[in-house]
Amino acid sequence: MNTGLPTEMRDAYAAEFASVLARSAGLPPWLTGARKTAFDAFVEQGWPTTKQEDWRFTDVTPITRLGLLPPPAVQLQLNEGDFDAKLLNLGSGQGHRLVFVDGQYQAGFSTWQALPRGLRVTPLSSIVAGVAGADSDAKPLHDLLGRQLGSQNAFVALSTAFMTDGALVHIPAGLSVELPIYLVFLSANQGATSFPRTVVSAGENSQATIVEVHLGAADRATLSNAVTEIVLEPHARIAHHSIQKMSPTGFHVGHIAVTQQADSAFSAHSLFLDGRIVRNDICTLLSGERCACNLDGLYLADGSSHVDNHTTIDHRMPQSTSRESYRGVVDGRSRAVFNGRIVVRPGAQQTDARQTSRNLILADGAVVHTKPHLEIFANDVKCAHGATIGRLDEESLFYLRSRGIGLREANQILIGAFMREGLERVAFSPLREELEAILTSRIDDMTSVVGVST
Amino acid sequence: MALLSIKNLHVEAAGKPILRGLSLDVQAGEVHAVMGPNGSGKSTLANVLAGRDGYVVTAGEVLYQDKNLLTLAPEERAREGIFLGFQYPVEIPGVANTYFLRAALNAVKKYRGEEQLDAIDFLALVKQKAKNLGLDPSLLGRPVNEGFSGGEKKRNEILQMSLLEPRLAVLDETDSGLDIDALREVANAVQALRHPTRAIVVITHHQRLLDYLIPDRVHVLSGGTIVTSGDKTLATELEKRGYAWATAQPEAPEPGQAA
Repeated sequence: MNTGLPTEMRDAYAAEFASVLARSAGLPPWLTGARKTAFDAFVEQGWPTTKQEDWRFTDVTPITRLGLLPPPAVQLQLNEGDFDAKLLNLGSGQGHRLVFVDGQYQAGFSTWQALPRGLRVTPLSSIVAGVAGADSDAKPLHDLLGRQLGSQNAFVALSTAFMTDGALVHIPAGLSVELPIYLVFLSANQGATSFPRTVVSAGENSQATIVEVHLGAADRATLSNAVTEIVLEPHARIAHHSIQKMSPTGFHVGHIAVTQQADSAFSAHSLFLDGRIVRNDICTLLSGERCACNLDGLYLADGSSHVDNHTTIDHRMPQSTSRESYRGVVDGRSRAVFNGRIVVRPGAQQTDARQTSRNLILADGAVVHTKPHLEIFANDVKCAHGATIGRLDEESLFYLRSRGIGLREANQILIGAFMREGLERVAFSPLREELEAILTSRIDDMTSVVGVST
Repeated sequence: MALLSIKNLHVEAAGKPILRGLSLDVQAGEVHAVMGPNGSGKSTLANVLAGRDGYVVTAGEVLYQDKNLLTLAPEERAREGIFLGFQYPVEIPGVANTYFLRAALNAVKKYRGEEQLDAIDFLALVKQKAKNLGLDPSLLGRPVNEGFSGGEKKRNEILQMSLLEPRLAVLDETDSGLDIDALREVANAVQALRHPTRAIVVITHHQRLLDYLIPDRVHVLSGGTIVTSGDKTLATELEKRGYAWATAQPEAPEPGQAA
C-alpha cells in the first residue's frame, strides 16, 4: 500500500537530512546509525495514505505540505503572548519543568526543583553533546532509545531521523517522585517542525507522573512530531499526560510506546484542546502478569479541527486489567476519530478489558468515527466495549433553562459535566484542578456552543 | 388585572390536539388547583407555560403580566418570574446541586439587576433554606437529583422555588410519588411560600394535597378544556364522586350546591 516518498520530496528531505547529519557530526555513531536507518524507512514507506486502514479517516496531506524548517541557529526570544497562558504555565512552581522551543531545550525557560536522590531528568541534547554531568546518561539512552517501538510508521521514522532534543527520565528502583515532571514543547515560529523525544525508564517499584504539553503559538502553522517511549519494570507506577493545544492551523503527531512488566500500573491521560490535525497513537504492551493499564482520552474539537486517537493495548500475559475511556465533544466542522484496539494473546488468560467511547456532537457539520477493534485469542477473558454518539440531553437543557440559566451557559454546564468525568482519575490534585480550569475556559470559548438545536 | 391570563388556548403535540380552547385567569396572591383525569392536558398546560419544546400553539394567547408569554425562551420566562415544578425532576450527572442552584439564582438576580451571590454567601443561604424544607444538607453537594428519592427530588424542586422567588409557580404533580408524611411537609412548604404578590397553580390528581394547601379556586380539566370550576369544596366533591361526575356536568356553576 505504501508508495514511497515522491521523488521531489525525497530529494528535499535527503538534502535536509544530510545537513542535519553534518550539523551533528559529534553524535555517537550508534545514534547516527539509528537515524540513517529511520530515514531510509521513512523514504521507503512515504507518507501514510487514507488507503491504509490505520489512516483511513486522517488525510495527512496538509502536514506533508508544511515541509521541514531547519531549527533556528540562535536562541529564541519567547513571546509569551503567543501562547495560551494557562498551558504555558501549567505546573509552574509545582514540579520539574523542562521547556523546549521548536524542538530545542531552553535552559533559561526551564525550572528545576531539587531532584530526589537518584532521579535523572536530562535533556537529550545535553547527553549527546557530552555536557558534563549528562555523560552518565549516555549509556542508558543507548540502551533505551527505540527499544519500545515496534514497526515504525512514517511519522515515527521521520521523528527518529530528525530527532533534535527531548528528555531522558530515569526513576530508580523504589523511588516515588511526588511532583510531576513537566516537559513543555512549544511550537513558536511559523513553519517550525520539531521532533521531541521522551524516554522514560521506571525502575522496580518506582512511581512518577510525566506531563507532556504540546503547545503551539496562535496562528502559526507548525508540526510537533513527538515520540515517547516508556518502560515500566515490575511494580512501577507511571501516569503519563499528553496535552495538545496547537493553533487552528498547527499539527501534532504523537506516538507513545509503552512496555509494562509484571504488576506495573500505567495510566495515560490525553487531552486534545485544539489543532488542525492531531494524531495520537498509544501502544501499550502488557508483557508481564497482573498489569494494570488505564487509558483516558478527552477531546474538545471545533472549527476545522481533526483529532485522531488510535490506541492499542496488547495483553500478552495472564491476569492483567485494562480500562480505556475516551470521550469528547465535537462542534463546527470538526472531526474526531477513535480506534481502540485490544489484543488478547493466547497466553493472556483472565484478562479483564473494558473500553468505552462517548461522543457529543454539537453541530450538524461535525463528524465522529469510533471503532472498537478487539482481537481475542484466549478463552477465559472478560472483554467489554461500548460506544455512544449523541447530542446534549434535551431534558437536562430544558431543566436548566427553566431555572433562568441561558442556553449558552446551560450548554457549557452540561458539556463541562460530561468532560470533567474524564479528569476524575488524575491522581495529582493540583494538576487535576489546573486541567479542570483549562477545560472550563476551553468550553467557554468554543465557537458555537450556542449552535445546539433546542 | 390578572397576573396570568390564558384565552382560548389550543395546543398540539406531535400533530395531536391536546388543549382545545382552555381559558384561565389567575390573580396575584391566589392558589389555583387544576385537577383532571390522565390525558386531560394538565401537564401540557404546565409545559406550555414554561416553554418546553414540542408543543405547537395553534390558537389563543397567554398573557403574563400583560405581555405575550409565548414568544419568550424558557430562561426568559424563568427570569420574568415563572417557575415550573417538574413532575419528574431531571437527574444531571456531574453537576453539583449547589453549583446548579447558584447558577440559576445568579442568572435570575443578574436579570433583575440585583447583586449576585458568591459561593460562600450562597452556601449559607441555601443551607438555611434546605433546613427549613427538611432537605438533607448532604444532597446539596451531590449531582443534581442523582440518586435522590422521590421525596428528595420534590423537596429539591420546592427548594429551587424558594430560592428563585417566582411570581407564578406552576407545580406539576408535585404530590406524586410522595408518602403521606412527605406530602404534608412539601404541601406545608409550598403553603409557606404563599405571598400576596405570588400566584401558585398546582396540578394534581388527588385532593389530598389540597388538605394542606387550601386553594382559592379549583378547576377540572377534561378533554383539553376546563369543564368546571369552583372553590375548595369542588375538590372534596371530586374525591367523592370521581371525574366522570364533573366531566358529565360541564355547566354546573357551583358544584357544592349541585351536590
